[in-house]
Amino acid sequence: MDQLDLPNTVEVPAGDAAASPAVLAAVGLTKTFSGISVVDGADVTFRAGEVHGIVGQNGAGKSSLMKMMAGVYKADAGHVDVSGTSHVFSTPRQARDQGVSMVAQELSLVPALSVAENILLGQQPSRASVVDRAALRDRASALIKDRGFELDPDAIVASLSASDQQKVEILRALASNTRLIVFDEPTSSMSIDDSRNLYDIIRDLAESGTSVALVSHFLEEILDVCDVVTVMRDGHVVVASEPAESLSSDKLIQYMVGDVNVDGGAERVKIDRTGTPRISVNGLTGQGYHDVSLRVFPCEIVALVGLVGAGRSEILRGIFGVDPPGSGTIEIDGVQADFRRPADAVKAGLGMVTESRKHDGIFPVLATTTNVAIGQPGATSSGGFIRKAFMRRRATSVAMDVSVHGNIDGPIASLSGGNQQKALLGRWLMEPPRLYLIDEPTRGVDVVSIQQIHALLRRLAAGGMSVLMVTSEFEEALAVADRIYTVRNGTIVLESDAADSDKESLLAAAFGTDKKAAS
Amino acid sequence: MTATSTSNAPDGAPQRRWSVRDIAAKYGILIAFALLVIGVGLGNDLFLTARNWSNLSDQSVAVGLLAVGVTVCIIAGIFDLSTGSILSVSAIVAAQVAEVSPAFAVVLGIGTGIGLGLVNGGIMAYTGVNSFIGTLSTAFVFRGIAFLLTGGAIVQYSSDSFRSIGTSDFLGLKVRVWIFIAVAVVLGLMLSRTTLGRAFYAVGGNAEAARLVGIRITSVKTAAYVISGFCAGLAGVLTASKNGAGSIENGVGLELQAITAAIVGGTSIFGGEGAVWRAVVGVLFILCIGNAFILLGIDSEYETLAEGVLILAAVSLDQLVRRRT
Ligand SMILES: Nc1ncnc2c1ncn2[C@@H]1O[C@H](COP(=O)(O)OP(=O)(O)OP(=O)(O)O)[C@@H](O)[C@H]1O
Ligand SMILES: [Mg+2]
Repeated sequence: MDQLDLPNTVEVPAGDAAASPAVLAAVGLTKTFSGISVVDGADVTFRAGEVHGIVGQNGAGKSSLMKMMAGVYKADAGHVDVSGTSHVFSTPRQARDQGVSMVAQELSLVPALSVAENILLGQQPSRASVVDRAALRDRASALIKDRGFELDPDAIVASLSASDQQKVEILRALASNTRLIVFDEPTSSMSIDDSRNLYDIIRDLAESGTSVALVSHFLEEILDVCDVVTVMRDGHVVVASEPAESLSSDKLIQYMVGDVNVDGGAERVKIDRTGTPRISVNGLTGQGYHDVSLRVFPCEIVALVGLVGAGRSEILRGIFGVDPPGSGTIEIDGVQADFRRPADAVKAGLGMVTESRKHDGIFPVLATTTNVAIGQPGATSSGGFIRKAFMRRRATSVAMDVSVHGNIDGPIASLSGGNQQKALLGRWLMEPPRLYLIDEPTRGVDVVSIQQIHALLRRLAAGGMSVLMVTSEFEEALAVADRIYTVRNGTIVLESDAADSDKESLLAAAFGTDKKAAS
Repeated sequence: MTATSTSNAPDGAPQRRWSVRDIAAKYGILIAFALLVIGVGLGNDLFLTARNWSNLSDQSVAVGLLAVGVTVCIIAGIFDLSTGSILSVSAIVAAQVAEVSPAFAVVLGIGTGIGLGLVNGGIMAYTGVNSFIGTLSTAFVFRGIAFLLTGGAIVQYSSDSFRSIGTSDFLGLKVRVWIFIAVAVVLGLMLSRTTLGRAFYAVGGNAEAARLVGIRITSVKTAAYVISGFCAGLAGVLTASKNGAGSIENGVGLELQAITAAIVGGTSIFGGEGAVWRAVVGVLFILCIGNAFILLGIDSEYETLAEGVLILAAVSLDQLVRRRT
């Protein structure tokens, strides 16, 4: 299975990327955490002008490998070859001096500083060690203009949208003389337009001779944007620099999982929509949404789709009492509910997973098992005392159900990004809630695990649980939901049966270009 | 799912080897403490005697109680800088009532601590003031109350039974030491074994996430203040019992020593991480430094300086082994 990149470079038609010299190469990079090897002897060559895709399942070691390239982690063995000289980076600064920059999986901006200050963080122009504000602003403006971005250099980063923040992050990576720029799942929380934009930027970068590494779980996009693809599995590079033309999604998945059968989805059950709905929302109005009426029945999975910023997350937060709504009514199983805080909703048998796992999801230093068990303390304690062994057993089995890979007794922050997301999904599944509100259930999750999670949700729904989820992936809604509401500008514009709708009609409704939705 | 997985066994039984670094990161303070004990022990024969340790343990009671109480607060992401003042008010109340009824003095002294803890919790919850500045203020208020209660005079009493509460010996240690040990054990179990304990870690680790899983943050924080107040109240009662008096001078500066001990022991100042045993080790660490100065006959002019340097060394060592990746 292991392939050297040498034969590949021969296979590639002459004249394009393959002919360009290697700018940088990972040579035998190895990283071990607490005796567990997470990257083992990885050899990857990055060529100038090439977009290099890195794929693999959650926990395969993609981020760890990239972090060693960028000096975030110090390699235990191996080195980075920069045009013939060997380097072992122990700080991001050293890597940047050799031309390696990284746009992290979790954004790492300083929210209280301005755009210009963030872009030039750590390399502010200064005179007599006082920051030269005018020069700072000028250089930042020039960089922004070079890239054709529309950004105000004086804006405070905290006030920017997620995608504008991403742009700041990219500009920061490009501020120094960059030979290799690494993107770790840059589009996972982007709108469709923004991710298209980003891919254009990436292609531009490559054309101007920069080498780009792109980590992503969107295989179609990887195949679309990248020249070559490297696949990782369990810390090993199993396929190195394979030309994208010779690959397909299916082939990539096969490389990613090895010789394992991927189980298909579970079938849908017939839903009885004549009885009392599990939840019935009428005329709900709050910050960012208005006049929202919807119902979810027992055993039903309902998706809220729409564009980023349409108000879908706000609706979920309103229902769960995170930001209590201004007006409207909510009935749970026919009983009037007025959740003023999440604790009330939890008591009524609801569970919720939000979209920003770092901000309001994980307890970073607590063990993954504890992070899973904490949502439903009653399930693993008696009389206020935690039944430790039992808790660990239950949490372990739930973590398995949602296919978490990694050391679940360690702090959750040491899991890979996708595995953290899966663990959060497991938080409410010790005793499946009556109604499960999920905002972006599979963000950052690999394709194989997505199928497993979808199958799990279907199974749980068949057992009586109702799901109301927000997703930006129309395919996801079509694959897993029974019914779909399309949200635009804070209100529901279309209700459709998943079985007889398609991506185009949903997109049209989301953008407001269809007649049905407009009426 | 992955056949070749060497490490990330999905069956939940990761083949985990504890590396030296992991152990050093977790128990660094114990190593530092052991080095200190061995070092001083080699330098002076009197250090490792039962008598010296019985004496050290007695000194640890008041600051130790404050330290274990404030540990709960720090884990929950809040500070309590009022514990020294609460100790003083409780000691005065206990001393004033001791003459009438020793039992009443105990109850009222501890009750005062709990009450003032509730006041702290109420103020922070109601005003939303940051705990650092909030309890710094109530520290003044409480000490002011102590002054009003006494007019600045020392409150003496002559009840032998109240005096004897903590002073009698049991199994080689003072009863008040046993009381401290009992409180530390109960709090330790509460933190590590109960859902309430877990809520303190959750609130300190990520308050918004805690709210979203249905934890009532203000109640949990108030509980932390009440526990800290209880510990300070108990420390006040035991101080009054030990001294035969209560005074506004009791517990001055002790709240900072207690916080220092908790942090030296390895409880994270940022919240969400820590343990009661760490506070106990931290207290003993600091007391041993002072003790060493006396036993080794070093000029006490250097004591404060050396204490600061050694504490810094212990904390830096701890940070160093933790931060390495
Ligand atoms: N700081 C750390 N401490 C301990 N283990 C870690 C640490 N960082 C990563 N790991 C482990 O290394 C393995 C690889 O993680 P990595 O983040 O590189 O995966 P990934 O391929 O980027 O996954 P994802 O697609 O979910 O982002 C995981 O099992 C993870 O638990
Ligand atoms: Mg990753």
